[in-house]
Amino acid sequence: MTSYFSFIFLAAFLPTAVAVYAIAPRRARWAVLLVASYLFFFWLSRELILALWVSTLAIYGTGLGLGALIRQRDSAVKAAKSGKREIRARFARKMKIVMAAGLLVNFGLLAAFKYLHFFASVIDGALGLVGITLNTELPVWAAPIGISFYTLMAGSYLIDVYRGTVAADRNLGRVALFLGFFPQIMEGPISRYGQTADQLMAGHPVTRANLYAGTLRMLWGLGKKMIVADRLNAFVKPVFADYTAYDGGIIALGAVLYTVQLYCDFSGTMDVALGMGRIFGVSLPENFRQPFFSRTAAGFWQRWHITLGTWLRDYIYYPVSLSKPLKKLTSKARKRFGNRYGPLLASSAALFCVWFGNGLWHGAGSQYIFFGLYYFVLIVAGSLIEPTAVKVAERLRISRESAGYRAFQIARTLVIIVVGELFFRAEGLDAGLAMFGAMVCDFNGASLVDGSIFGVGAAGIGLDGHDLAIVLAWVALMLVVGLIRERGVSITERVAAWPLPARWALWYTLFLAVIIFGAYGTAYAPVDPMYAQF
Amino acid sequence: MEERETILEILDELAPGADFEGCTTLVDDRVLDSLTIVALVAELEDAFDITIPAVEVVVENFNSVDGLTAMVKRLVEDQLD
Amino acid sequence: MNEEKPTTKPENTAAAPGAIAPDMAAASTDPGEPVTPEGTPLHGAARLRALGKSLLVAIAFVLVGLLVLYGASRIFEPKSNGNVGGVHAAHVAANGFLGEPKNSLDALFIGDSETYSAVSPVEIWKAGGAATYTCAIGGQNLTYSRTLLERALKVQKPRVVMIEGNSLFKPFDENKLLKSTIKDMFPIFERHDRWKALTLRDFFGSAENDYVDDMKGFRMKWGVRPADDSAYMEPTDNVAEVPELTKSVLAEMRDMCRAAGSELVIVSTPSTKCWYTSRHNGAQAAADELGIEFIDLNTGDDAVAIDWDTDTRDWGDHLNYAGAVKTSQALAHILSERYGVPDHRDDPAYAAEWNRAVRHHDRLVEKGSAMAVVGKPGDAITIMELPPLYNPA
Repeated sequence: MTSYFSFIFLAAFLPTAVAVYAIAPRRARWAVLLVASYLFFFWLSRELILALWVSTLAIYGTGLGLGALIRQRDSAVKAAKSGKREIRARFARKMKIVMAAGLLVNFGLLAAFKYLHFFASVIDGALGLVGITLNTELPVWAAPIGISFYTLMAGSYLIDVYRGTVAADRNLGRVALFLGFFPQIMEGPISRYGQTADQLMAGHPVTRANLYAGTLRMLWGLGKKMIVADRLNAFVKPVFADYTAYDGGIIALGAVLYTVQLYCDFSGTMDVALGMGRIFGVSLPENFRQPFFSRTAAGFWQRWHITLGTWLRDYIYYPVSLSKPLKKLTSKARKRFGNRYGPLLASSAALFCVWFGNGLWHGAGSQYIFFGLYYFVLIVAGSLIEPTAVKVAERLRISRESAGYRAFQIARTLVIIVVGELFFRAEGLDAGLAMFGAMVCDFNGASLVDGSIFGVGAAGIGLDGHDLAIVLAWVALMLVVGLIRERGVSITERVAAWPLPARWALWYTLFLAVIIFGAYGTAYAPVDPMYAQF
Repeated sequence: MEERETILEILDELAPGADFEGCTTLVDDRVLDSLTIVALVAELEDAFDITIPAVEVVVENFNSVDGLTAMVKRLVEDQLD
Repeated sequence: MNEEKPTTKPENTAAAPGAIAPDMAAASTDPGEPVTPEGTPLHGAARLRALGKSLLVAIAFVLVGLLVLYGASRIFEPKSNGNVGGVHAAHVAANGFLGEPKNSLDALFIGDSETYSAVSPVEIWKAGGAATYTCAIGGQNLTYSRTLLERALKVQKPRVVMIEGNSLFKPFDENKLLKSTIKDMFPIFERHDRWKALTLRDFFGSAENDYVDDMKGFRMKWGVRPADDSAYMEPTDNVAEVPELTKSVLAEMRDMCRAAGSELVIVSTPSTKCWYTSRHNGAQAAADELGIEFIDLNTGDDAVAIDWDTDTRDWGDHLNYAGAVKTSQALAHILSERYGVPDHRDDPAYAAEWNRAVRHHDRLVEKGSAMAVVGKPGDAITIMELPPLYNPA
């Protein structure tokens, strides 16, 4: 089995896990989840499970150490008559060292598995500029599954303990399950300790309502991935691999279809993950909230990969922008540049860290860093232009809340998103730039309507008219579902109130749709979940 | 009530024209966005000689003037030398 | 950053957000535990009855689901074994035996591209009058071989079923085995792509296997690319492992055959690339373990006299038509001598069908011989391939 979408996982592993969990006594259910999670991890990554164990033990131990220091500090502060500030500062220094050690172990492992070669090439490049060449042979390691995701979760636990947001956990099992819970391990969502730890231990029973809602959600996600994402791969892959063979029109379509593919793949996987969580009575955080309805680039990142955004905000943006040196900068800048542009300076510095981090997290390659900085520039520019835009709109008597203006904003944001994804997917930064150039300079609308889209890809593998039709149909369905959810309606709750035959009919319909229209079998090349490589 | 007055003054400086007194959804309604929050924290720390740790930068504390006042009062007391 | 209302708040709570809204629960019970409409928990017999009801609902749900799968499978199953929309051409040839008269075949050859290149049932007929069929697709896995065997034994009673030795050394995992089993039970998984080509006949018609392959599953291939047979079948004591999973599927196939009155035999067709002594040893060991016969056409008493300069089309991987003739004649001999397969050449029940096949076959041989160019060892030559699918004239 290679992922949540492999047959043996869905037909054998998951049902068995659910059955054992349901039968087990309440107090033992967390253990069932932990064993299942480790079995899953081992099945996918074999001996690399050691990395997960090292991370788990590291945060467990460091957490306890921090907890002890906090207790000592609090009693010292209570007992002291004066000099409380010094006591706090003294302990803060100690605690920072302990926390840094824990973070170093975790992020060090991540760096070793993911970024060794990238950092080496960057260093080589830099040294090369001054004429030094190193010829080091670096080993290549396959990365443990989900390391980018669980490392962030581990870091968030440590920092939360340091801040006092959560108490250090004495229960190793709970820490282990928090980190290794199998529905989250492959592609997130990146949850916080305070969100999931207690739910995971609670051992909620498997209820009919949760089973129905959970599996329905999984089917919805399976549909997105298998009907749309896997199908579009036949078009997207050759266009990006062999871009010189196609004109701007095809490349533009490739970028658009890739954006659709990525959304369906990633959000579909999230639906499967959250559906599985629901079956076990665990409410995992949402990662997507109709991202293509966003009106600005900044707004997009509040709706796309939400848990990554909040992680970066809480653990990079606020700490950086509220750090002493930057706070001083903010005060000075506010006096110089006023209330609007003053804080922007410090905020931009913090934003730079966030977007650099976002890009780097996605991959060890220059095109990912470019991707992050692309959004950095757009978002800062957006902030700078905002007051001017308001004035201009007033002058021109355009209402910024009108449907027309909103449509303009959404369209503009969609273009920004698609261009960003073009660079994200391109096989290297130079390829991305070349493809972008082709899109802009070599755009030929004719190739989109004269049937050449059906010629993309190897014979017998590409898209045909039927494929396009089913993709459009499912996208239309997603649009409808998105509009409903945008109004705040919970589809799960509404459906739960339907009569039994209607509920069953809906379930079987989705089930059949996935089986019939899914892009699997001999005519299709297999596609692994896309975010699992990060 | 001294703290409350000072806080209102600071808020007025940072986001002039907004109605702070009656509002309990300053963050939710984006009256205070992340830029403003950063500036607000800096000002509050200066004004009250306190350190506002990141754990305090949460919706509950920043959504209303009362929330801000409570937070500031608590931190002043805790951090009294 | 100045935008819509965020619904995600900065996280900081140490308390769990309360998870899923419980079904209907009083404060003292587990969410989901059976309760009366007022919310008080049930005990004893009432509780058991409620749980029993849940179980019944679950079973009903699964049963209806299986029915839905079954119904969908019926619609998606091709209503003819011929070239209907959505079925891959290779599968049509391999399943062509469905068009043969019931219980008419004496032997079946199941395997991969080695088999369909080397075994020509028409040649076997010409040499000894046995009625046989080659069920093979390129790169065939043993799991699909099992599927084909199951399908065949429903309509045929061959004396012998010969399974390609190469199949023993193509490993597969439990995932593939599980998928194969499910696909056999519910053909919708195999045939789902036919949604692009469904016709009214699929919904309301019934299956009619009206397609007959005159080549009986054999693919006539021409052209010569000589093989280097210097290391061919070099003696060694190594024994190539046959995976456990493979052996267990073979055992299953052996039992299926025995239940139908057939004999399962492992046969290795000649190839310098795909067969060597360690594989011979491994196959022999597996055959001994499973209690079935193993016939090696590469070496020993049963070795076919293949001329590796003229009889292979791709440097020893597969045989061409010339090699297939020799192999088929050898097999015809084995079938009649060792397995008592009768000679049907004078049997009127077989005459019409097979004589026509022979005529068609010979026409293609004429065409092919005229087209193919034979070169000296080392020459690069184009391979000519005659299309395997055609309707009888």
